[in-house]
Amino acid sequence: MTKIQFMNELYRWIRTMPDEDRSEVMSDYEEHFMIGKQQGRSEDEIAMSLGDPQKIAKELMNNYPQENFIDENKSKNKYTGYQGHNNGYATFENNRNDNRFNRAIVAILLIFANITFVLGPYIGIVGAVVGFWIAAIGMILAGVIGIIGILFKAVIPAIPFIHIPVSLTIGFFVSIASISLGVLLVYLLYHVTKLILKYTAKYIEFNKDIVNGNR
Amino acid sequence: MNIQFKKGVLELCVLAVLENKECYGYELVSELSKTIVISEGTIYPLLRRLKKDGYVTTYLQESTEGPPRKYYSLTQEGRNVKDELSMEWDRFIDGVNSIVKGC
Repeated sequence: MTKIQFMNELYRWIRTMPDEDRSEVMSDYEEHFMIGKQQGRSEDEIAMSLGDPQKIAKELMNNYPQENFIDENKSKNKYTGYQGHNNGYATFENNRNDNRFNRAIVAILLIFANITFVLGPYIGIVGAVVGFWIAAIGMILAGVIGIIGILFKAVIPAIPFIHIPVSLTIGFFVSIASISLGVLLVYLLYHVTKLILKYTAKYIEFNKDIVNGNR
Repeated sequence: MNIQFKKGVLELCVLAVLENKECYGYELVSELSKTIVISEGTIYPLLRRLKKDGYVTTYLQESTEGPPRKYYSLTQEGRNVKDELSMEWDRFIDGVNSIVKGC
């Protein structure tokens, strides 16, 4: 096992340690490898005599169960591998800064891509759905108003404001039909809208994952 | 040999070496490996724990051969603990010997 392999493996199993402590641990082993190499030992030999990095990590993590470990999901410090130097002490903090810079770039690129390719069609779809909602509600309202008007006309034929162009009966059934269709449309739209919201949320999560380097 | 027992013994050994001489990590590991078989990587976690418990302190010292090295030295409390563990060890050895040689 080379030094890098050893250090990578170790880092992987202690990545939830607080940054400072973890840095210190990595420095200790860096120092160990460096002195060993100065004495003419090979990295492989040194790694071998140190033992299994995972076991070492377990010892480290076990010693202090009440240690303030980072919740990895909330941590921005996702494991992207060992970035130490070959001469001198490891500088793991560089790793984190690169990460932030990269993520910002990716985020900006994504925003541009979304605006160019996704926003247009998305607005189109949302617009259509909104239009249908308005139509559906309109149909229901029209039907309701129609029925009210017809009822009034039926009861008081001489009412001047209300003018029904067809026979009352036809008007009545047309109104009922309008309401029914409107209700049906509302039912369909409700499910379509739910789907749209769900996939919008998923798409946003997807974008977030890309920025955070999870894809 | 029981892991917990070995850990306790290792702690005594580390404290004993440091009582004699302040060492940097690699040096301590080499000293110990001369006479007992240990998994060298676990010395550092042990040293971390001893430092957290207040038995050991560390300092950096410039070295001619490269970057500064981290030296470990015993605190007064560390010395006390070492004495205690040493007595326990003697008692244990005496006990085992009397059983093994007595039977």
